[in-house]
Amino acid sequence: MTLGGWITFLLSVSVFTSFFAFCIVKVLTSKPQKMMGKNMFKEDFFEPEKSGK
Amino acid sequence: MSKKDNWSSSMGVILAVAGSAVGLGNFLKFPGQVALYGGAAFMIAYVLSFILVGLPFAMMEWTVGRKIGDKYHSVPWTYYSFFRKPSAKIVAAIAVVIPFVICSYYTYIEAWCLGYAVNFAAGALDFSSTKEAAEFFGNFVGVNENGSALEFSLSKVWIFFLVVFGINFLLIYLGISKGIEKFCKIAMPLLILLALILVVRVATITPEHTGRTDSSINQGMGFMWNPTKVVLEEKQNGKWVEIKRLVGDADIQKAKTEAAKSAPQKEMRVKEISLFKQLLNPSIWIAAVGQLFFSMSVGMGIIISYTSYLKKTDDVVLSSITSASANEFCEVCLGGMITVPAAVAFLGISGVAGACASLFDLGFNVLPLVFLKMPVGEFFGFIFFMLLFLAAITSSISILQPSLAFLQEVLGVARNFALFILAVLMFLMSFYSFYFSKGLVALDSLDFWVGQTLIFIIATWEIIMFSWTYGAEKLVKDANAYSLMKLPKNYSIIWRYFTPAILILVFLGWFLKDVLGVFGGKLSYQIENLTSGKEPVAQASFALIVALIFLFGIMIFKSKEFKEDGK
Repeated sequence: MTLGGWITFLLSVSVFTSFFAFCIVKVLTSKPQKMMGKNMFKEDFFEPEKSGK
Repeated sequence: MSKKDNWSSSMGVILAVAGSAVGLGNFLKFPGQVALYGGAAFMIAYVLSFILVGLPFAMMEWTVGRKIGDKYHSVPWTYYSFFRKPSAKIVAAIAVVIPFVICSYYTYIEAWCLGYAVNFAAGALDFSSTKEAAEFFGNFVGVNENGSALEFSLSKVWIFFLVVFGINFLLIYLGISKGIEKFCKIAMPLLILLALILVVRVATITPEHTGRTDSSINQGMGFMWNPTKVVLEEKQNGKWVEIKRLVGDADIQKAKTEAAKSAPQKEMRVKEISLFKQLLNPSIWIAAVGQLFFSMSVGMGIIISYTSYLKKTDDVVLSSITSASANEFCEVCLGGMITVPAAVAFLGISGVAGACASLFDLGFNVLPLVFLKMPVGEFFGFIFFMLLFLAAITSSISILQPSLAFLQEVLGVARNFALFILAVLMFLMSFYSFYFSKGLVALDSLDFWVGQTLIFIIATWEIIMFSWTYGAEKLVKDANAYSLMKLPKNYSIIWRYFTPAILILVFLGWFLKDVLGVFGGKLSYQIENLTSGKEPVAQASFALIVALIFLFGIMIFKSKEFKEDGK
């Protein structure tokens, strides 16, 4: 494998491994932010259609 | 319809969606594509496709699924609830056919993986050439005659097909949290562990193990990852045609000497193709987007169906990114290390190059031989095919889920009754792929029309409708609600312009060049099979797909739920 091949390989593997590790750590250490979307589901998504609006 | 079953943890749904995405393509197709199109060039196209197509699509489906899940879990109702147009019902009928048909032949392929794993464990495999490996494969799956694999024997796929079918339906019967989630929580870490064992095994292969001095793991890695492609070309009818890939100084020097000595009527040359030149080839972009798109399980309704079981307050942005990252980790970091380097080390570049374009050739003709040549190869062969089986089953259970949700909602029946109907329909459909095994024409036709063509059409329609008719800005707002990571407001530009434009361009490029054979391409043999009448099974498969679209369409149009909700 050439130097360019090693760079391509190591860059690809390290980028996707770091990306995966970052996401997993973030999921395991995050707490749900319940207040952030409090207005989103205030109304039933299906209601306007049911009443013919 | 009330929601009775939910994911019990965010990690559970992430692993289930990742399990759905991680399949045979990660370990067999991806390394073949990297090798075929050149490491760096393919990876540039692949990473851009991931950012502009794969990830946006996955995030959109997660967002839509969570939003709709309070009431429905199937794709037709998702489309209809968002768009309220009769055309949505027609598209929905096609969208339901996609996972149903894909699952029918995927379980057949899954049975091959289990069968090979068991045969390796039992020490029942013994070949010394790819020809013998291909003969075993042909007999095992019934390539020579329709129905010839219908026999209870370790060397026939029938018994494995029944076992695989039973396991799939048992897991679905147990439900979302007790079946799919529990299974994926065990299967996904186990899959990564098995892959890591194989990575270590492959990385420690030496010339003493392979008995070859002309090829090595280093050469296999170079074959995949070197950014500059070096090829030996021959002049045929005035045109230069690639006849061999060259990797390593010794190989290149030998070819240069050969080219210098070549006769004028059989002129040869060694050509270096730079990274930039490779990127100018449209095929590389079509291949990268295609690989990414099919690998991430988007456009099949799986993610919508799975995420419809999320709670309204569950995160979707970070979870969708995490499941996508898990798929990419398995594909690039594990898949990129195992199959092609090992195959090149044992068989040389010439023994592998032709198989890179075909998932089946690489997986079931080349690799079994590689494992048999390896020290303690039967053990590692068992590990590898178990890995493929786990990757396949976590995908197939996810493909069943949208069909189950559809039957439950369209017929308005209890889950277990819908599951029984699905089991009967799926068995008949899977048996069709299994029985008409001659030349694998049925499987190939179903995959071409549904797994490649329809899926692209529906996915493109889906992204256009959600980002334009529903609104990309609203999608951003929906995605950010309760999410642990926030999308920037202008992320809507990617959903609205980039993803649909790339999908349309790639689909047109593929369809015109590889299917219709214009712009220097070749008319696809699937089109020839359909129009020439030489392959009745190909025509029957096409007719079956059309019939299923009609059947599911009638069920949707006649559904009481649709009428009540839609008018």
